Amino acid sequence: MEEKMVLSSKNKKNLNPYLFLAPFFIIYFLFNLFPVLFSFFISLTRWDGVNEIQFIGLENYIRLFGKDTTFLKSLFNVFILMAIAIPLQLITGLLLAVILKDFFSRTRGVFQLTNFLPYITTPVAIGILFQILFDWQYGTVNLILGQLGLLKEPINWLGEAWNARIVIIIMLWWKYFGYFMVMILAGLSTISESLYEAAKIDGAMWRDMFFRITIPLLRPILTFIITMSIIGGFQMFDEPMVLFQGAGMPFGGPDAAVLTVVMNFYDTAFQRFDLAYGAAIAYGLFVIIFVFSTITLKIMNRGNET
Amino acid sequence: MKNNGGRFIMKKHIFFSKIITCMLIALMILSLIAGCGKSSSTVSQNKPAAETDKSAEKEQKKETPGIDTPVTINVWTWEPKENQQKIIDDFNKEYPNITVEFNNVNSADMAKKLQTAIAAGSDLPDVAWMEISYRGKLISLDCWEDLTKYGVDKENILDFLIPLSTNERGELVGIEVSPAFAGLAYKRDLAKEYFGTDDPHELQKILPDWDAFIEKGKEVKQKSGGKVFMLTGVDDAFLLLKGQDATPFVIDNKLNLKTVLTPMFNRLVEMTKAGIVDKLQRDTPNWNASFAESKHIFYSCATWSPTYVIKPNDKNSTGRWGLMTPPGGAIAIGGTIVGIPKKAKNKEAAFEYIKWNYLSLNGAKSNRDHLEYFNTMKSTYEDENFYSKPDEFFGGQDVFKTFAKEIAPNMAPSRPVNKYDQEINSAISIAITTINSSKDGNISVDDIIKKVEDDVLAKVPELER
Repeated sequence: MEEKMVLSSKNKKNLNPYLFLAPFFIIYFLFNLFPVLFSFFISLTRWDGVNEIQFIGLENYIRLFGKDTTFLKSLFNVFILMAIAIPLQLITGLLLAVILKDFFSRTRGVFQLTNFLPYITTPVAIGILFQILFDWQYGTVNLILGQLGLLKEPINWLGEAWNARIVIIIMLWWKYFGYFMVMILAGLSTISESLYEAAKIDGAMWRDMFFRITIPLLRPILTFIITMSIIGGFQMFDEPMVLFQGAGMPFGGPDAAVLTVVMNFYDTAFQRFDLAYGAAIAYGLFVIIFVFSTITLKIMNRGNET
Repeated sequence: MKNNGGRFIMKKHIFFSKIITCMLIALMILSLIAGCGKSSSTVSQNKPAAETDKSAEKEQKKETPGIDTPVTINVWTWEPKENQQKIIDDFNKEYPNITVEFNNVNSADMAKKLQTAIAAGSDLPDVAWMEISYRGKLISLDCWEDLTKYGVDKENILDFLIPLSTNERGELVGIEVSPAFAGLAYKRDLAKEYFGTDDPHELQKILPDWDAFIEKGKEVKQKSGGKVFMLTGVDDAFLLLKGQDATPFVIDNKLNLKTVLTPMFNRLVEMTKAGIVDKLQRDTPNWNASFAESKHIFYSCATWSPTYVIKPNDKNSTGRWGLMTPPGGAIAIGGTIVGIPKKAKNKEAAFEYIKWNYLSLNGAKSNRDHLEYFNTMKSTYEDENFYSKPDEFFGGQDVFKTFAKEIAPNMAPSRPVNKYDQEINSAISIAITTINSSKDGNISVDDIIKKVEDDVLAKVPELER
């Protein structure tokens, strides 16, 4: 009798963890897992949110990777923007961090803050700021270049495809190198001073220490920043959106030169209400991000494995 | 004793864990209910919708809600309620039982919000405002009441509004809030300087068509040393040209863009080459600033432009502006219709509200007097003095009368709205930017149009070239 009671109470005890975990799982299933699975399901259909859902198999994906020039163009745009902006941000961030640490140890705080400020500025404000700076007729940049005698005719920064990309790259660079710098500074603080002292005693120059101590030991933090930037880069949305929205430009800028994948997704799903195809774009993007971040991690970690 | 104590502790333990278990189960059930709340209520809403319709029909025989019993209607609009309050007060004098509530939705977000509400099965408004740029797609959805079933007679409504409010099934699903006839506004001082007159009728004689417009533009360019332009930019010129042609963009699922756009784009390139249009883009800070400057003579001007665009941007002037019929004829720019969703709760009251506001003489007067809105009824345009109000800002010109008696009767027929309007217009706007950016107009119109078609087809594969 007593044994039975002990047993049954044991069984009840085993139930408790599940009950305590239940709220999380219920919320997770309802608000995370279900939407993820459901959006995969609707990516295999034709659905505008109003009419009946029509199952069409992989047709959306065939269209996405085979025929959709807009999607390919948005991918191309994102590649171009990332391929130029990320190295620029990385080099500037790295150099600034090292220089601040080595030469400005007392005034470091001020420089750190000023360079980090763009990162915490609202995207909308940045958009308006860059619109004023790069306006074709009245923009500050054109005025300065004109007065320096470098320009005969004003450059149409926001109205031509490649110029628009350059402006976005400048914007990304300006906004994010401070973030890179702070992350790298954090990484630098983990490198033991004794290594540098030993190197100095052995007669190493600043340059040698930078390339032989700093860079190799920063590898984990660099891997992290680059991978996150690639993921963030594929998801780029606010910068091009805010810059061209108020500039009287079509969605995605001139000739859709700065239309990113996420902007295309937003336009498809929430402006044109092609929900099914929008879901397919989102899944397409997921696959691409997955592939690229895996490749980056593999390349960056290659040295560690051997 | 010890043993008993142990049992007691165990019992206590079991007792507490039972309580906790019960509470957790209750929490789980609650969260499940909360999570499924939406869908279950959707079903329960959908199912009895037909029933309520039936019961409403039964009830209708007895009494009409809003007329015999009090009812509240919900209007989704971007206009703040204080703008409309006086009109609502006038409405309530005749319909004291209908309370009008506004739910403000930004114009740009209206399509998104309506479609999300329709897709999610959540509550829809009784009356929704729909702007022209996204209207085609919205009204093609089978979720709007056909207003002819409520007794609206198309014959009484201005002809050019019908294609703008009718979907592909031929249902009239909306009534225009204020027909957006458009003419050409001009700066009188500049007109006098370059054309020798600031009288609208004289100017119309000098500029009867686009050829004359371009020729005169070249003279202006020469006289001013290239400092004064006829128009602010290619996009404003395109608005005028686009409105003067009613050929549909899509015929039987085939793109008709080459036919429609070639003559227009040729004109734009001609203007760019002649150097008579500036490079500004509409709705940008520079464009707004240009109203107070003396660099541009003409601006497209719809019925809403004086109040919302010209006057706010040129606050300090008086008598500087004039209004005339554009070369090639009057057009419509923009416009907003009001429609009733099929799933609206108070459709009868909503229709009474629309009928009074936009299809009755008292509503027309109230809208005219409080907001300077025009109305849809042909009869009011036949009356010589229904719309008349000399405006000092326009040099004493009776702008109201010019719109009602000169521009409205000469309206070109309008291009029917289409569910692909958004995709087509966004592709066109990219092309317009390309023409605007070219310094000398050395671009191939065929190439640009092909690009427009490619853009549209990439987004809408079901269409054919």
